[in-house]
Amino acid sequence: MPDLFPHKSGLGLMEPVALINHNVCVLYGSVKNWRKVIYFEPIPFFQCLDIGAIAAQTTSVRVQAVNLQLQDNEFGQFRWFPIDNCQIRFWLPQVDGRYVLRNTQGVLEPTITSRDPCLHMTEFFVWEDYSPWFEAMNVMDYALAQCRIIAGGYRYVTSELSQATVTKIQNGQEACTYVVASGSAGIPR
Amino acid sequence: MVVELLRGTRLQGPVTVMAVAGVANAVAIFQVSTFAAQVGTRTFRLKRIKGLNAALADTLIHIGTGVGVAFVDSIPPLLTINGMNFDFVEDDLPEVEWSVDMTCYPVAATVTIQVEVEEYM
Repeated sequence: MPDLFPHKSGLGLMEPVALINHNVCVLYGSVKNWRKVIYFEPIPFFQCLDIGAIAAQTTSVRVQAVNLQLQDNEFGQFRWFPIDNCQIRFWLPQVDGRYVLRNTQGVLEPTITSRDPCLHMTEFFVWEDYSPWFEAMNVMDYALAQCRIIAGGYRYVTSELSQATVTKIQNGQEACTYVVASGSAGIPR
Repeated sequence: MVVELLRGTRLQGPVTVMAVAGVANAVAIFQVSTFAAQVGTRTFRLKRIKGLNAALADTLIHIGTGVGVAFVDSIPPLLTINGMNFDFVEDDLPEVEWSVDMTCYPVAATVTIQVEVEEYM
């Protein structure tokens, strides 16, 4: 069993999903990006997006969190929570919802900080500049002046793996951590 | 383990002497952080009000936003007693959130006031 894996939550807060020299496979849609981590650093929690004012009982437009974009050859591991009273749907990329079930799409509210203080259920990954989109619902009878989202995590700089190493990983001869950096519409019947 | 992810930063406004009464003379008693280079936007909640009524009469103080015709009460007016200190703490105050500067005016001057707030990013 690997010691580091996505959405991990032991006693304490967040852990990196991989360390330097670890192999990772960043899945974006149907593309597998086979990479080796060559550098990583923490990104302390910061306000990554303010969707802005939302009228009473309306849904905002879907807004891209460009502040969560990374440079080429990099991926990010983030956890997040909203601090204003709204329900937020999460999309990555713009048309692929996350937290998706057959009949509904899960939302995040500020209450997540008491239900899941480590935020491990909110964890997501970003490949390069394919950053997520947020859509907020003001469920109140009052207008909302702002809708702010706080995110933090880790930034990883990676290099490409050789085909020989990829083959070893696929044959089970070398370890690799798989991370998902996009939503999935599932497999049609 | 207690994790308080929603907690803000406790700050205080300046000691403000409101020597002129009336809504036209409302003054900022706490200014929200708005540095152009800061990341994100901030709001704050009122946590404590401390002051002195030197108006030579009991008087109301209004706390809200804006000045003059733009002034809007954010909480009900508070009655202060002539010659006395007043001290409203968190349990006395509604959990109103400000996203712009907090302003205040007394119906009769002079009233000195200072507020404590918790500012959120």
